[in-house]
Amino acid sequence: MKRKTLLCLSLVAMLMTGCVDQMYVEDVSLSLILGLDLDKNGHLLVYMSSPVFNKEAKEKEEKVEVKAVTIRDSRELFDMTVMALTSGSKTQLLLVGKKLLKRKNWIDYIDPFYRDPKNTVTTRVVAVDGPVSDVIFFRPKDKPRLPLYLANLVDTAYRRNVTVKTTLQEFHEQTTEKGITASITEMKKDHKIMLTGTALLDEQSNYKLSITPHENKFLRILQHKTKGDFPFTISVPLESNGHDHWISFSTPSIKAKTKVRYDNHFIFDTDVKMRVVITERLFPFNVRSDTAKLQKSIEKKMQADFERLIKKTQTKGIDPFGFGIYARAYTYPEWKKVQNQWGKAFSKADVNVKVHVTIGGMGTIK
Amino acid sequence: MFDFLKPSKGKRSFLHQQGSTHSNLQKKKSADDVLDSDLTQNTEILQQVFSQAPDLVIRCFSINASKSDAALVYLPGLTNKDAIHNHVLKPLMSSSFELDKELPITIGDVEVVETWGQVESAILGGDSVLLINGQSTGYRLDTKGWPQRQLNDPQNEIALKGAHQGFVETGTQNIALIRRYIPHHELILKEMTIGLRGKTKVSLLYLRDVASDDVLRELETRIQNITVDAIINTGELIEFIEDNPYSPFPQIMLTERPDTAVSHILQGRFVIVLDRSPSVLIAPTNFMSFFQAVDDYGSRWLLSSFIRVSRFLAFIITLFFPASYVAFISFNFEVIPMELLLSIAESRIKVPFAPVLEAVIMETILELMREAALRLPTPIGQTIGIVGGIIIGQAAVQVGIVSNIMIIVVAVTAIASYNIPNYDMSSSIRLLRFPLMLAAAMFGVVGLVVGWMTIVGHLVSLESLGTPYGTPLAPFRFADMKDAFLRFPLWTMKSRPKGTGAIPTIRQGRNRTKR
Amino acid sequence: MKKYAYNEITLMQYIFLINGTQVGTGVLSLPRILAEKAGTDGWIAILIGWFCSVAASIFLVKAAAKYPEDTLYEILIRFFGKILGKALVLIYMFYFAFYAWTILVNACLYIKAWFLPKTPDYIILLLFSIPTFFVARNGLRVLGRYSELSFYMVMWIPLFLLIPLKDGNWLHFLPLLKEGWRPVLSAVPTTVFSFLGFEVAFFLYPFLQKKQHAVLGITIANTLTMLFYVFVTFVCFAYFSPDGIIEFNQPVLNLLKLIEFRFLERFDMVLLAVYLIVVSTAWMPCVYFAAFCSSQLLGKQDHSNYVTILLLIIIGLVFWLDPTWIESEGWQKMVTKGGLLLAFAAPPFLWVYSWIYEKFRRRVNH
Repeated sequence: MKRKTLLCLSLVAMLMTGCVDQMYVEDVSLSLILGLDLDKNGHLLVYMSSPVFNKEAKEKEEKVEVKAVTIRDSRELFDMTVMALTSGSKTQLLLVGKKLLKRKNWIDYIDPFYRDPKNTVTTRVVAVDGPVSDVIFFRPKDKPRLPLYLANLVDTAYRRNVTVKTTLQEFHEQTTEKGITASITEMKKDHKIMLTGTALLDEQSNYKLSITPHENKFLRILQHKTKGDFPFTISVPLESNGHDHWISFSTPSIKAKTKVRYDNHFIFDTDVKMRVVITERLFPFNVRSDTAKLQKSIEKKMQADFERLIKKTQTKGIDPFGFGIYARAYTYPEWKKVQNQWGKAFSKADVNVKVHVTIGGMGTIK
Repeated sequence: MFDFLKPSKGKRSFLHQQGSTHSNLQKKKSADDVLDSDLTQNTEILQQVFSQAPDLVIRCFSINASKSDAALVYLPGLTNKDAIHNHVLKPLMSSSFELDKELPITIGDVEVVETWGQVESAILGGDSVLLINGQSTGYRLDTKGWPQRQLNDPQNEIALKGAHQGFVETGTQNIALIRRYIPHHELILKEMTIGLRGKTKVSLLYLRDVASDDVLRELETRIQNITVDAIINTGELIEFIEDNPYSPFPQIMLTERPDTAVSHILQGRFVIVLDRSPSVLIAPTNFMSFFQAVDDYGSRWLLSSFIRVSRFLAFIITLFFPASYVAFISFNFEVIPMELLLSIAESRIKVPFAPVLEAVIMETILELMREAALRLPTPIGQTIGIVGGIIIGQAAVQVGIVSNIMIIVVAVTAIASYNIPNYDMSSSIRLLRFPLMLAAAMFGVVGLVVGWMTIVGHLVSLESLGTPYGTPLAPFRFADMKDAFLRFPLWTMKSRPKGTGAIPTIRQGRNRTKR
Repeated sequence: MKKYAYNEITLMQYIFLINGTQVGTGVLSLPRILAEKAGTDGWIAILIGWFCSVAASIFLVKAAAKYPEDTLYEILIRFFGKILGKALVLIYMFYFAFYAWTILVNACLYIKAWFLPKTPDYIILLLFSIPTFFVARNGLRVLGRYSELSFYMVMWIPLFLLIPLKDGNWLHFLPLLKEGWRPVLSAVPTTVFSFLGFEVAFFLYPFLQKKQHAVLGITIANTLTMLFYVFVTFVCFAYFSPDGIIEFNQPVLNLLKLIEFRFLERFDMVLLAVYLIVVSTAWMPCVYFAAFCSSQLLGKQDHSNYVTILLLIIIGLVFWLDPTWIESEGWQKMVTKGGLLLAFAAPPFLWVYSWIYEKFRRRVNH
């Protein structure tokens, strides 16, 4: 009997005090896009775009701009204007203005994403060339809601390796890992929103360099992330008569292998093995008989592209490829000495890229 | 009316009071009093005992040859008229014979009765009693013939491949149906009688060399301890003998299929046949056995394994789908992918109720519809479906009382719950989803998990007649797993399930040589 | 006639009871602690810790095997007399009660942080105590079945850890033993304590059906725990960079946060909730044995009242103390200190003592 009274009592207690954590979906204002930027005076601006569910609303989205001290502080300001409770648990994109990217220690601002277990870490980090407000207040007529549109844009572009896709978690990895510097998606809005390639950051996560979609593919290969499509369109130096010989090919398989040795400076040897299938050729050429020649010229062109990219990064003192990870794994004693200035050490390193191309097919016509 | 007083029970039983109503009779007969040799005396007593039974027939006649008087006593509704007319009265009245020799009655089961108690139970049980003047014993003649139903397809347990004979309301018939499957001398029949007023014959059927003695002893004592007026149906009997009556889960299985009953007897279980009840009990059971159906063994094993798995899936869906809807919508919406979340939120925004209220309302309406369809006569019952489908479904969404997604949840849950072959198990699971919904509404996913932990904790602590209810999972028995989530090919199930405590474990030899 | 014939447990139940008691919330932060102490070589320390715990376990079984029909209570009274023996059992009782308390508080804190931030602590503990009461008020047999069934129900959890593994980088492990053995050895105490819980075998032994397999069983249980720990640590080290992992308090949960399906995002929410089942198999035996010890001390057959009392005390204490993360960590340290005595020091001591005791008694008898 006593036991049953106890049971009843506890049930009553739970009924009274349960439910306090309830938060219905319809009462939540999901900040699907969060934008961070600086205004003219160097104050932090936080933007938010959240969906409106009510059918009576004409616009499907609420977009707010506030001036805040931190992100968490901005939530309070958002709650003052939007219809429901702001929640960061579904944030799809984090847009960071280039201005902010150049500020020191800007990375401290995104701390709440990692600290609050309710917040997601699969948010895509995107650098915006120009003011963030341009992107966030953009209302394209022929596109779905902006968050869905942008998220899809990044995801599909990433599959073709037009740009990188860096989630907050990966971003955290890249910023804390000493052997690699961060690389994030870059976006620009002129008349419409465009992905312009990848923004490369340095060890302090400050903006250093932008690379084009074409270069991004080389970046991905050097990162050994060879999943997805790598379609190339290049002009091969077949004859020296100055004409452009445009050829396009897809690469069903790419294998990259990196070796490292130390000889007063780090020396990296990267072998890239590619199997290509020609998808477009704008010049007359007998592929069947002159395979080797074509392969050679593609190799030459690619190798030059690789080297140019590496040079570019080395002059800026960044290592978005993660060569430092190899240096740590295979030449630990030397790495240990330079691990805190890896960018500097990398800029002195030799990186030799060897490309091996095998033409696997030429399509259905000769 | 007299003979139920067990001497072992010292308690003052209500029988005494009942007996006292007869105290105004001149000659109160107790059950052990013997018959008189005087026929008139006997008929008088009979008339007194059955004074409230005007339908009692006492046919007085004289036996042809010896000219001595005799009386045949029976209740016409319970007896077979043809047998009485042609096989009792006709030979007695027309042929000549010696009284001290055998009577010329062409009826199989004839027994000499000596006491009034025997006479009475014989008459009430549908037999007729022949009393002859000058003899202090009577004859009980088996002329049973009460109104009976034809053997029909079992109505509530449909099987595609099973037999089309279901149990009927006569215990002897039901036992016969089982005997037809196992004509073996080790199939033991133990009879007991329970019920003080409506004496009910309870028969225990089992294989003597297979079934466990411990379980038998337990079962017997539990049945013998029952003291009630009458047991109308098997469900009542279950409540008296099951291990944990507070549990939502059935611990003893009911079936109206002889083939199911027999397959369980062969596995070493006990079948309890209750006279007057069209279903039999199977004990001991475990949780898994409620998910087995006869069809599983008749179909190809791959198919039946697939169906088995889908039944467990149905179990999970019934239990958790509405509750997890509530939990995800009102606590942990992070889990739902964004596109889906947006459309859920859009359909939820109009609804004035909290998610849990919405879910409880819809699930209750579903239960109401189910009950209504069950109680209505079959031709009208179909209208319930139409009313439910159109009005509750479409209109309610349009008005904005429930969300579209809730309708889907309810519909899926309903369909899943009817996938569980055993009605008792299916209804107890349907019942359990309500507390789970409540837990989910209070604590979200955590409430769900703790609810599940509680259910599991309860399941493993349950026992059916002293055998663990959670086998073959906990305690784990690999051999028994062959007939749990999957139905392995029959020839691989070489041993009887250990959970029943069966003694000779091997039940078949190598039936398939390598070909 | 066996004393505990009614409450016998099978070998499987014995294994899963021990394994269940060992694996609790500790594993969620284990990779971080190992990384702090030993870098990416921390997983080696788990192997060493496993070896120590197996050695202690074998001593324990050998000591218990001297009096196969006696529980620890009877053994201790036989060895040390009524007063000292009872005092020692009292220590065990307090140890288990405190162990249960720390696990429950820890689980409660996790649930609060991830799911129910505003629900009062004592309500969450009340919620936990419902299944605990259902299981622990019954005999050891039911407890064994619960642990067994729970194990089967959560066996699939490690499979999901394989999903982030495909993004892992094996180079993080190289070079092996970067800093030599010293940091690895410094992590050994942590890993040794993460195997705590096998001391319940002392109490399980008299109930075990096939006593000849007791050593095998406890070794399997320890090995299962070890495999789980090593696997989890491996995946974490492969995914997170060696520098990044130490920033997360519970790297396992951060890892799970990344798992997303088309139909289900934020898988860590679901998994952490389901992981509560694993944690429950740790606190339930502790609650049971604390109640069991107290019922034996007071000479009562039925222990179910003590379960209720213990749970009420725990709920009351939580209501009163309102524990914090930092306090909880302090309590855990206290438990591990007690565990060092009761699980690692006591078995060899008892084994030696029983040997001397037997010898001494024989001499007296002669």
